[in-house]
Amino acid sequence: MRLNRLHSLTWNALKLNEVVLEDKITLNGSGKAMVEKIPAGVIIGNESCSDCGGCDLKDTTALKSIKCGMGEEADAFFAKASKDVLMVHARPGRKVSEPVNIRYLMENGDSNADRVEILAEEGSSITVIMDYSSSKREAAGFFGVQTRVKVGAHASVHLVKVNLLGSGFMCLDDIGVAVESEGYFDITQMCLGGKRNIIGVAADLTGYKAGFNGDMGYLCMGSQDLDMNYHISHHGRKSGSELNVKGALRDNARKNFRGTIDLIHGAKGAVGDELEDVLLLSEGVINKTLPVILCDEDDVEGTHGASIGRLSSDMLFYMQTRGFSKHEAELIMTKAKLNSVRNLIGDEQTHGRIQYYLEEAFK
Amino acid sequence: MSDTARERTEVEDIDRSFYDFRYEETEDRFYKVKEGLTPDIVREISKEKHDPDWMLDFRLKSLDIYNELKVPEWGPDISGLNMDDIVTYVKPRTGMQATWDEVPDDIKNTFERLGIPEAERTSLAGVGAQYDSELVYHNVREEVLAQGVVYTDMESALTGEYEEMVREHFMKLVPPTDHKFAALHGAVWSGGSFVYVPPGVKVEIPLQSYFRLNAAGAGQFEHTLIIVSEGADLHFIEGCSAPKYNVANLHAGCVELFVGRNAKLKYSTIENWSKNMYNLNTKRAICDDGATMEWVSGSFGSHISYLYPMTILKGNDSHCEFTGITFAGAGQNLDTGAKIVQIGERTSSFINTKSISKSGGESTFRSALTIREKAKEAKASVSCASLMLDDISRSDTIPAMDIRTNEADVGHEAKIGRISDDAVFYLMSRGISEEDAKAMIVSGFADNVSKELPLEYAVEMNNLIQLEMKGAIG
Amino acid sequence: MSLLEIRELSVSVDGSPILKNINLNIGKGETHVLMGPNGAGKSTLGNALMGNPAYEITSGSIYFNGLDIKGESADKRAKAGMFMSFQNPLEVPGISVSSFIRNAIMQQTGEKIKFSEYRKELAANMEILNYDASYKDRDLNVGFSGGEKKKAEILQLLMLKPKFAILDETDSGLDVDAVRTVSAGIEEYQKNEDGALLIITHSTKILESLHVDFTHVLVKGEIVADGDASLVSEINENGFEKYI
Repeated sequence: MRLNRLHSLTWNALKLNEVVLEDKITLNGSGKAMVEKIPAGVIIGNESCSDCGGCDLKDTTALKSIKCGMGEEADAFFAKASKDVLMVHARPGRKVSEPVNIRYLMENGDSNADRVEILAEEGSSITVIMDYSSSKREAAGFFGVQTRVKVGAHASVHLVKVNLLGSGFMCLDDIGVAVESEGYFDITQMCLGGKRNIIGVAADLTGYKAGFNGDMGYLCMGSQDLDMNYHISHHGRKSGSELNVKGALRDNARKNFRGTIDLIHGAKGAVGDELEDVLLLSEGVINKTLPVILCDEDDVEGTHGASIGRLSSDMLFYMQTRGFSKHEAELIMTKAKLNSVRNLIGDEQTHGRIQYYLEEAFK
Repeated sequence: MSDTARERTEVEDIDRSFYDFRYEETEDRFYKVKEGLTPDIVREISKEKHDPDWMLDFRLKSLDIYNELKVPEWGPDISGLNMDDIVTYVKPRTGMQATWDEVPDDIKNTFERLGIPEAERTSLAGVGAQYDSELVYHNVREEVLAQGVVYTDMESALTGEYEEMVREHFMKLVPPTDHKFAALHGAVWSGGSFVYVPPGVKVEIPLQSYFRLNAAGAGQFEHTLIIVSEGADLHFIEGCSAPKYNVANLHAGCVELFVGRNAKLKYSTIENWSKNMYNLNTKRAICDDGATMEWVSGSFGSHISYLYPMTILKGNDSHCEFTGITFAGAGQNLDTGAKIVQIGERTSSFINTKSISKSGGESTFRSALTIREKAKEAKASVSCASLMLDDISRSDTIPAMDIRTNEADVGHEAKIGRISDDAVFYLMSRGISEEDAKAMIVSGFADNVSKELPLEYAVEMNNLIQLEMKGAIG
Repeated sequence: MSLLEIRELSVSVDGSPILKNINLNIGKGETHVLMGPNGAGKSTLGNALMGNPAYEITSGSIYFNGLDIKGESADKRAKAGMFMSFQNPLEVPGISVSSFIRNAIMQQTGEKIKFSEYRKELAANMEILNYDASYKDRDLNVGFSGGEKKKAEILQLLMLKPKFAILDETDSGLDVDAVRTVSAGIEEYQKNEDGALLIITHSTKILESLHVDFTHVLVKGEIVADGDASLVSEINENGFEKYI
């Protein structure tokens, strides 16, 4: 399977144009979604069910046509792997303060893929927390999920994704978003578990002042391998995007980050900003970064900044004057990076799970 | 202020007509091979150039490689380039001269108009001038020769006392297998310069080679090989231009630079090919311990460019700086940037580029920074800024980084936008007209590059960016 | 024996010499003031004492508690009981003021501290510094004003209780009220009778309410005058002209 292919290709020798998944994935269907609580104003159902509590959603083609970050081969995979789609639907104007929690408990040997569609109708707001975890740290298996999100006009969606899978898992996390006028999509991601993680995020800011905010925090240790592809397309006038990706690599971990801000002709007044901050902690790590700005419009601003490497000498000295050794300073700064993303999640239970996972990881 | 009421201020295209002149030439004054690319044509070029046998073999092998390799799947479209239509070798029927008086008038007048003999008198230590496929003029100042500096055309170097040195270095840094157009270069290369600076020799004033492609439908494939020995210091300038034709011209030169221990090389280019040119040029430098490589690169011309000078910081404590500007106007798609590979410990690199797009021009900044496992304490910074002067143009930024050591400090900054209204307003509030304000901002934007250039070149660049600002449509 | 002994110390930054043959002794519980015009090298001395790797000690020695610390990294010096308040404290997103200080105390003492006691002490010290209690849960220095950052440094000084603290231009850029608050914090530190201070400043505002034992004037990298507290008022009146 060829995934996360770049829109604007570059030298093949860099091996960044796409990721090729040679492993054959066999699904056994074990490990299912658990929707922990359904807050008022939200309808949860399956695409195939006809009696899911008054769901008047007849036409989901608009949702189906949303492009996801991993590309067409992933679409084909998920369509085949997951016949049903879990629907999360916020009715027009409903502001739902309680998050919808969708938990996937994936144990050793489990292998499953799922599709989730989130529809926030005009003026609604909703938070969906999806977390994938294993109760045993060394559990191995496969987990894939494709999430499509439609953010209606003046609606807002906060999507939280937390990967705390066992150390032998492969995880495909494919996300596609369309945001209408003055809609706002906020995604907070933490990728800590798993062995090989592939994340694709495509966002189409179609409407006027459509907004995207992404915060991604990761920790790759041992031989963990993380591949990310973000493509944010600005169609709408004054659409805005911000993407903040930070994390740390240790041992022999590898990480690829591709982030594209696509300022499409007609997106007058659009602003896109991308920041990457990578702390490299061991000799054997490999970090690849490809931040792309495509610009077909003049009245726009696109910026990108990256800082990759060891702790800055200023920060290291500051920490040392407070008594932290280099190693301790690195540890505390790694935690700090991850905490700053975790703090955006705003759900005590999820916080606790992340905290527990990290404490174990740093033992 | 509503959009319709807003005064439109436009930055003019670069006036390239200055380079479009062409003196009357008679066909029989030139020798050229047939269009296209076949083993026979390669043999004919080799024979005409009196190559040593190994070079003929090298050319034929390169041709095989060329036929095997595919064009890249990324970058601007080059389907308008048909090798069957390109004349790969055009030789003026004159030998290489050491005084301008001996150069035939039409060719001499061409270089006069380009200001080359004038620059030679005032500010250069040596000049090579290539017209189509061969050098027509080469001269070096006595005092530079006396220092032991060798500056000659590649053909003389290849058949003279430097043959071994050439053979040892020729296309070792850029092998024909590197990419399709490097293979093409290996097969049909002709002309270019060979420079050798002995250990410890500091060449105080720059050497310059100027490449003029005058023949319609022709290709230019000059090879530049520069060896700067331990502790030596050189500034080399190359310039290029061509008159505009309605058929595709091709430039696939190759530059190989060897910078010795603690040596320093500065390589400046002002490229101003005409807008029918496919500029598929390859430049590469390798630095030994403590060496410094500085690139200054101005890309103004050509229809399509693929240009990414590469620096291999192999030695410990070696250092590279790349300063570039690209100006893409109507009908141009300029894909430019730089590649850096840091292998040695404590190596450092700085890339700083600017690009300007207008009148439908497309510019792409493309780079690759690689920091290898052993490059402990490496530092690198990549900074690129792009200015969009209207909404029919395009500007992309594609900088890749591959970092494989934790003991590194890498920073990157990219910015794309248009002239800031606030900046214009600030200048206008100080009594400067809108046109002048915008002109000031655009030239300020290009300033970091022009100040890296020798004065004459900075002037040429400013001539190139004839930023005629005019108020229109009230 | 002095707590800190600086002997014939010369320091370079990026290869250019800044400090020349500095000699200075600071005893337990003493408050020293280092004054001098801008660019004299005052902050260079602070950074060199604290072990900032950007500052190269070209000759001389530094003894702290009788031990040569010249080759030690900053964290070792901190653990030995040294502290420096930064001119421009760094922002640490993701770590709250409270958890940063608590971690630092545990690093330095190697012991767990009781959370309830810690909270109590932190609250008391924040009170002295006129700090809103909500600041303890904010990320360290992130989004803080200049004054709030300086207060966070003094809060760390009070919590970490070093044997010797360098206050590098702690008063610069602060308004009158903030100077008063910071000064109250420093006074609190002075109440601990063994705590020694080196206050680096180019103005005298912060010194008005503080007890000062010794004053040193640094000009162009050399100490040109030593005196007691009266030297502060003299400089307050006449400036540095006579030393330049």
